[in-house]
Amino acid sequence: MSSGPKVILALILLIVTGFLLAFTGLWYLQAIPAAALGYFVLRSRSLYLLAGLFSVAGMVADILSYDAGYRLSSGTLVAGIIGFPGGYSIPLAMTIIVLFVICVFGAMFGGSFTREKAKH
Amino acid sequence: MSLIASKRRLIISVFVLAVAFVLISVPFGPLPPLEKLLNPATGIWAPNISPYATGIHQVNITQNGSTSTITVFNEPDGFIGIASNTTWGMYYEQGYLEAQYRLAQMEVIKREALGTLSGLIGASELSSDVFFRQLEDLQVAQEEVSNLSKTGLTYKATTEFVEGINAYINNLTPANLPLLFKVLDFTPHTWNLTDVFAIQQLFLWENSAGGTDPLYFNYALQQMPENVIKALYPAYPAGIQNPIVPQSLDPSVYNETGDISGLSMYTPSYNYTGNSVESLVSTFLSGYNSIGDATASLLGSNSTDTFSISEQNSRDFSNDWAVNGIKTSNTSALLANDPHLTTTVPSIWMGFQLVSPGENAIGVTFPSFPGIVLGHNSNIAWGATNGQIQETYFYAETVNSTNSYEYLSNGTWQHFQVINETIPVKGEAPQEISVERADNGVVMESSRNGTIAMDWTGLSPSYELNFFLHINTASTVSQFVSNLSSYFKVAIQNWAVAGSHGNIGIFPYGDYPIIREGDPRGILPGTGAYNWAGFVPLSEEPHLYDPARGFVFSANQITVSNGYPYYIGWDYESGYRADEIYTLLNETSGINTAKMESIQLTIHDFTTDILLPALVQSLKYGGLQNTSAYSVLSAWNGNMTTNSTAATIYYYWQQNILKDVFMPYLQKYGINASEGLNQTSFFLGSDSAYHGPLIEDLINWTMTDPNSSWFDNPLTGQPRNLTTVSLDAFAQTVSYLDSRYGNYSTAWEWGNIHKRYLSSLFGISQYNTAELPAAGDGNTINAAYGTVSDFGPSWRMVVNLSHPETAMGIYPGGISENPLSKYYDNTFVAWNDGTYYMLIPTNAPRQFLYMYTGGVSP
Repeated sequence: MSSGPKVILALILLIVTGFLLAFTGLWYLQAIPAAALGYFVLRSRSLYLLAGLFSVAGMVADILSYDAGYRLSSGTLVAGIIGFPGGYSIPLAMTIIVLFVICVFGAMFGGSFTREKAKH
Repeated sequence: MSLIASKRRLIISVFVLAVAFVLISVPFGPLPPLEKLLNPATGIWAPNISPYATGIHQVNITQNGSTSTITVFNEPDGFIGIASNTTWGMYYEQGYLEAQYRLAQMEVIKREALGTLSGLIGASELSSDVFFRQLEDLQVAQEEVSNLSKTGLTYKATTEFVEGINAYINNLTPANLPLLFKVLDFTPHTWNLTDVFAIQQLFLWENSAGGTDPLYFNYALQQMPENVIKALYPAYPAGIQNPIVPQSLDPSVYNETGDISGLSMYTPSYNYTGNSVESLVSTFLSGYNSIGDATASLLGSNSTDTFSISEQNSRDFSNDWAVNGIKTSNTSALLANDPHLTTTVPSIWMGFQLVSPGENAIGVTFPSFPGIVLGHNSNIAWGATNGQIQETYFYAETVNSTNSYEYLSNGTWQHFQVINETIPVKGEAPQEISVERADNGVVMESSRNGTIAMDWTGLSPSYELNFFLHINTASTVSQFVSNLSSYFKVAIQNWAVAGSHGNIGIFPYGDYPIIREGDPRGILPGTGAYNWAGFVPLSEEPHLYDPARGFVFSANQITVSNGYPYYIGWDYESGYRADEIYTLLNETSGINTAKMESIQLTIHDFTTDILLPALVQSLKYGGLQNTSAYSVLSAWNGNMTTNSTAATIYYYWQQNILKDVFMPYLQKYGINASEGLNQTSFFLGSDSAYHGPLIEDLINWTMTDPNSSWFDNPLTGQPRNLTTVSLDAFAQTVSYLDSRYGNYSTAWEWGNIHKRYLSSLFGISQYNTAELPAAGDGNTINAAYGTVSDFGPSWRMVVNLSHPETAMGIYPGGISENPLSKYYDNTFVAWNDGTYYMLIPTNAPRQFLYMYTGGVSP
């Protein structure tokens, strides 16, 4: 398979793993599939960022897929308790940032073990 | 990618990942690790796993070879019906369900009682923990449990109840923890019997009257001349009083010797020379901690809507009454009760119907209690109001200057009994304290200014929980009273009870301390001579049973007529809500459920019968007949309705006239903020318009001597009378309303100013309900204290004992403590509107009519 379809497949896989790991409560382990796909497929800075974005998309899809209204309201309540303005936006942003950072640098970690072939 | 670039990326990624994983794995300030808190499956984003849903379901529980088949009927009105073929199964399921829907509430209450809030919240709650350790809640609870008969109802019922709680806790997963526990990073521990009895102690403390009054009042005794004390603070309430047990209806208890003849009620027995009263009281007030303060302080959020135990203790006001066939419409007896407490969400109550062989009781209970606290069964109905009996006495100990562990008692040095306590504190080293106890109380304050001990009737074991469990199956008023006199000792209530045979009664039974000398309204010397000399014998305690007039009632007014031979307290509810109840019950015949409800919802302020004509007369004297205010006041009927502008004017005028008349006296005698100004009703606290002596004095002088010299300004010497102070207060009122709401208009309507809401029990304002326009005030039967009020009828019940299955009731809030549940506050609007629900709904499964209807089994 050429690199283009491989990348697309990898990013889709990250959505799926992001969803499943969020669903099972192991969301922080998304760094592992990100690292693996960084090693095999995602080997540039822009692809590391996409790894983060698509992982986050999977997680957000989990949150919104079931009982979304309740879950977002729960975030709003917690924000209120803590004193954050803006409803659930800050807690959600924190969640997204955490996962994004883990996945971007997870992919980078995996990608750092590969070398491009020297161009002749 | 070059080797160098690869290595650079490896180093950066490893570093960032390491830092990220460490950061999300450790507590984030006061918050738990972000990995847990923000976890999509188990943290704050977790879905709602076990929401409360109405309907019927069956549960089978097997224990020690016995199987209990339980029908659970989840109702939408804040009630859950439990019908079991075994008694143990019924209590087990009650424990399970209380935990399922109110676990956070129960846990915080438990920790408050045990003095372990600091382990949950942190050092900000240390003062509360110290206070409840000083009250020896845990030790007394342990002794109570050890004294229980293991074959007795209380031991068995509470054991099963606790098993049910623990069954729920043991099935908890991180996902279905209460949201508050997720934020606090807390997993609840299992419960035991001592926990339940410690909570009993907590509720007894909350419902014991007297509180810190003697500490404040001692200053007045020291500063004010005796004639001023007699005029402002008479030992027996002035004005119109309808005692709960008047001498005319129970003369026998007035014939004893008593103790009051040996007491001095107007001079101090001890001169406190310490720092401000506030610094002395603050030690005690730290123990009047609010659960709301506890949770809100965790995260530094400002909570203004807190469930305050101090409010509970000093503002525990309620109504109850019962009528028999003399007053009814072909009915044996009826009873009504509405206890006034802080109206919170979650509510202080949960509603249950408990059905098992030989039992079918319905009503409300405290989450963390088994059984029904206020309610009825098929034979009797019962309700309570706080007796306002003084149950805290304060003693100044004489400590040995050469040995601080000794105090003087009856001429000899005695050792303080010392208990060393270790209080765990979240995030810090544990706090070590020593609790000292003398023979006249626990030491609450010890400094170079003095050692003050507090004696409280709850410092010894008592078994109020026994009372609640036994009355659930009582079948006559006599059985109720037998249990009451056997078990209910502390936090004396005016228990109204009615039976299906047509008997009614009111019984303020409990431990009434007797002292032989001194002024119990202030601090007493701790030398021994002023210690409690026992308790009033049961035969000499006031009570009414089937009085000739056909009704009994209480609204926290004075218990007895002037002349009762024992001192039992002096700082009561003003008596005007009681006067309104008395008037209505006296004038009404053919009483039925609808009339009882109507009385319970009455919003006529009795004080207007006396003060309003005086105000109108004053306005006429002042040439104000052409004003809008005069026009509405002169036509007003005294009902505090939401569309009344006269109600608003009257309310603020009453606040102002009280301040104008009495503030100069307080100022003259040095009663400022540090001595309790505005903190207690007798020092112009927020409740002074409906509680305590000042409003009683004003009403008394208005009726008997409107030109009394007590209206003169003691600071300036300015001669005044009722008319002049009325006009001054009126001018202030209009000025305030003009500035706040503009010129006279519908903006002055009472409903624009007077609201009700349910405040978050945990002090988190986002959890409060909206504010709704509300009728009433602090002196109306349907009481709503203050302007924006979260204090009022926390439960309303009316029972017709000829048809107890038709009993009506409601409590504001809902079954669930989860703010995101639609059963969190769903009864609030209906309650504010005066709606009642049928306590056994018509669609209830048939077993819930067991003992009400023949041929039905549990």
